[in-house]
Amino acid sequence: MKVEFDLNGKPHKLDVDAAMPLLWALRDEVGLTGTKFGCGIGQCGACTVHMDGIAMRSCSLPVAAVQGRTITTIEGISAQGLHALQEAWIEEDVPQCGYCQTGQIMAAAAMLAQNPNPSDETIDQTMSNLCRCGTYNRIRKAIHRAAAAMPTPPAEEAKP
Amino acid sequence: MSALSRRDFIKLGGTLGAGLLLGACSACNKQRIFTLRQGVGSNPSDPDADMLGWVFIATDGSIKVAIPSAEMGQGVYTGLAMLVAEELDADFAQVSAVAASVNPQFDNPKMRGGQLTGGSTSTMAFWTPMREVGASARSMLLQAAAKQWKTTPESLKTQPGKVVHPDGRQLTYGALASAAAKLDAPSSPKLKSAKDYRLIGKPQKRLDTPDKVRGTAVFGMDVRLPDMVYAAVEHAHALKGRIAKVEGQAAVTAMPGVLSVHVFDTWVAVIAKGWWQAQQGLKALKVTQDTTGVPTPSSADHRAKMLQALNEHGKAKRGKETKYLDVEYEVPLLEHATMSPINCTAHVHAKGCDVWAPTQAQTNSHKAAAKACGLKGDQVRIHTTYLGGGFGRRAETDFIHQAVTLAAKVKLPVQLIWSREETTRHGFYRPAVISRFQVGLNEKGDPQRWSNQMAMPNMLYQKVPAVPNMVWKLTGDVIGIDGAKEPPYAIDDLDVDTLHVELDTPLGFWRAVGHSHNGFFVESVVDELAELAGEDPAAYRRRFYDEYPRHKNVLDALTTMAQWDKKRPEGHHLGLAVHESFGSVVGEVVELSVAKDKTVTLHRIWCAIHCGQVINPDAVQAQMESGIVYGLSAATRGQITLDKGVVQQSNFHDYQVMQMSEIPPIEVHLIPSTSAPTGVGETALPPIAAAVANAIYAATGTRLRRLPFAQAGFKTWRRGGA
Ligand code: FES
Ligand code: FES
Repeated sequence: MKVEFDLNGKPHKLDVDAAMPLLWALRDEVGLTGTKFGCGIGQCGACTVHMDGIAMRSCSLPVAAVQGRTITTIEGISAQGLHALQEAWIEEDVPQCGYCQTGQIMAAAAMLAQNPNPSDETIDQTMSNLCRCGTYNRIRKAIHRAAAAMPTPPAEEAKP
Repeated sequence: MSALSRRDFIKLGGTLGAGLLLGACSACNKQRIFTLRQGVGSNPSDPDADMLGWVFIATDGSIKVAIPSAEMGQGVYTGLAMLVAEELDADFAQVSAVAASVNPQFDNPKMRGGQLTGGSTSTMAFWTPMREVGASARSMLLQAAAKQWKTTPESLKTQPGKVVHPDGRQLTYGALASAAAKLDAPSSPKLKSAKDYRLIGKPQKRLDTPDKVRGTAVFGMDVRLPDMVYAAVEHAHALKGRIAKVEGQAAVTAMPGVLSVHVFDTWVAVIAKGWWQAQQGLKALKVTQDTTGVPTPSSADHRAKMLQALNEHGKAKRGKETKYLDVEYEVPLLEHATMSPINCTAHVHAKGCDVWAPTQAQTNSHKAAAKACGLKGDQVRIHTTYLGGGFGRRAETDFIHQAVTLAAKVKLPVQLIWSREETTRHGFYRPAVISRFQVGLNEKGDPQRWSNQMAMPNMLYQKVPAVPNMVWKLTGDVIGIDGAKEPPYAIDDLDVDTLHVELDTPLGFWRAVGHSHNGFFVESVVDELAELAGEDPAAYRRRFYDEYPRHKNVLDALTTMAQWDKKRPEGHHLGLAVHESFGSVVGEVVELSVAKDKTVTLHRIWCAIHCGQVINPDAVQAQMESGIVYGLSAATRGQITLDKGVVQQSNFHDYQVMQMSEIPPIEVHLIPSTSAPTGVGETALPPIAAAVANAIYAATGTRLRRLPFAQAGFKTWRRGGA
């Protein structure tokens, strides 16, 4: 099946099996490896990308579903330099093995787009990505730090 | 300042160019350090040869440090680079870390097994050699500057990244590197004393973070090679099972993207142009299982065998002790659940075999790859990528052998990826253990006799097959007993043994290994003894710690931080545990409350560690957080169970790990010390299960002697406010 969608700000075409999860299309067809495979069943969030600004688990999103949509991956999260979350992640030295972190940042970015100043409760409810290295408390701190550093609502806003 | 991606590094070997390259040998006593004048290592004819030196100072002043240990999250790239930079007096902003190639000079002197990352040994192992390399380089740069200025090295000083003349003239390390490379390396350079440290002990930002937040860090699965194909595998379902037959191979080979099907005795692989197509092909095959003649135990069988071993051994006879404890503790099998599923990339070609491996065990990986492709020595090259979690699982080489086996067949670069389900069901599991304690207290409440029999599989039968089982039968499981052997509780009559029980299950080193269960057992038992003696758990421990000053330091720090004696809010209770492992002592206090429906709210965790000289304080703190969270997953819900030889869990929905919403604030204190550094990466894990169990006892009167706690109905956990 042929699909056309916007990928990190540029139009993109794919011709693959309609059922292929976006994760594998991104990694093996497009060659963007920042989006990770952790579980394949929507449990861990390592594969998180944005579809029209909403965090989605790309391992459970068939390519057919992205026709005409806007997809953002970690590679396209910031048009210039680093995203405020990436800066905060560096400041708080969040990553350990690092494998879950691009997914964590994508989940947090989508959250901040909806809610520029999330409470701890909102973070608990929204950030369900797993981290086997146990970086959760630093992720929380980094989200608060980034929220404080972002004066205006982030550019990437969720479409209704 | 960054850790190079693997691809940059592969290029680096050929492009080192002019500069000072120092080699070293971690295990040699004499002439440990040598100058490598070529700019590349032992194989200068190969333009792709990896950097075989330990530190390379380029003429532009940039400094590359080769790190023998795998970076699996513990921060070792940064920590070891700091050691070199400290003695070299380098500007840390100019320092980058690269994965060392596989070479005996990088062998871990604290472990058998060559180049191997494990046992929380990296800092201990390379503490001296890394600093010596830095100090040698500095001394050579000083000599080169002295020559140029026609003065003595002693009259000169260094400042970060440069040599300074008393009259104010300066030469950067970059400007001196080529001249320094013509000198001989001093064999035993003088090292700084702790009071002069500029980097060691001061928090440094990790070198690998920028790549990890950008998504550019190269993990095993991110290796991309021209014409690379992907392999998906399925193993025989039962741990010791075989594949009887595979039907539908022709139809699967005809599927879009699929290239070939490969059937082996115990596994089957499908190779395709993309991993998803390979996985689809695998699902379409009809695989018949064969378990004739192989053991197919269930968890109930394991349990029965362990209890039988304890019964056959018999109980210790009770003496005249006033008070007596006779209890059994138990832990299940566990899988490592590294965040990245198992994977490896291999290419067998005309010039040899290249393997891109997320591995903790480079030397053993080299052996496994050589065996799989029939090549040897320099023909086989292991390139270490970022791991995506190790915890002991990536010290195994099953996946290396598998990837190279496939690569030898298809002659194209092959990236092998296991599904999460295969990763969970075909691991090397932390042994299940039932540990019986019979402890008698004298009239003062001191443990007089301490009998501890542990029924468990002797891991060494599997892990060190070169030594006959007879030997291991005599020694017992010397690793499984770690942390139980000599409890610091002034025991007169100590009797601790392992009783080998064959579980017919692949076993592995899981974070903290023997300590992972013995920390829970011993520190829970001590809590029970404190109660028997009618004493406060902290006060009871403290009276034995006079001969254990580090335990005492840790306990005192903890009770102060947690305000142990202060009245808590209604319903809040504390639990404590202190455990020595990998040379360090870590203690933890947990504050929690338990609702009527057994929902546990974790309010706060305090942690103190004595690990000698701290290199990067922020990294130690991160490892304490990490070990606690990893240990909580095991304590609350982690368990692998078997049904007729088949692992029942498959993915994160039924092998669950802690989530963000469950982890309370964790406050960490590092005990100041200038003694040689000891282990960090695994040491926070052993006490946490006991600290939680002891707090739950304080809260509910229920003594939890079996992991995971979910089995006793404590299924829901959440984070409380600070
Ligand atoms: S890989 Fe998609 S949620 Fe785990
Ligand atoms: S940093 Fe390793 S899984 Fe999150």
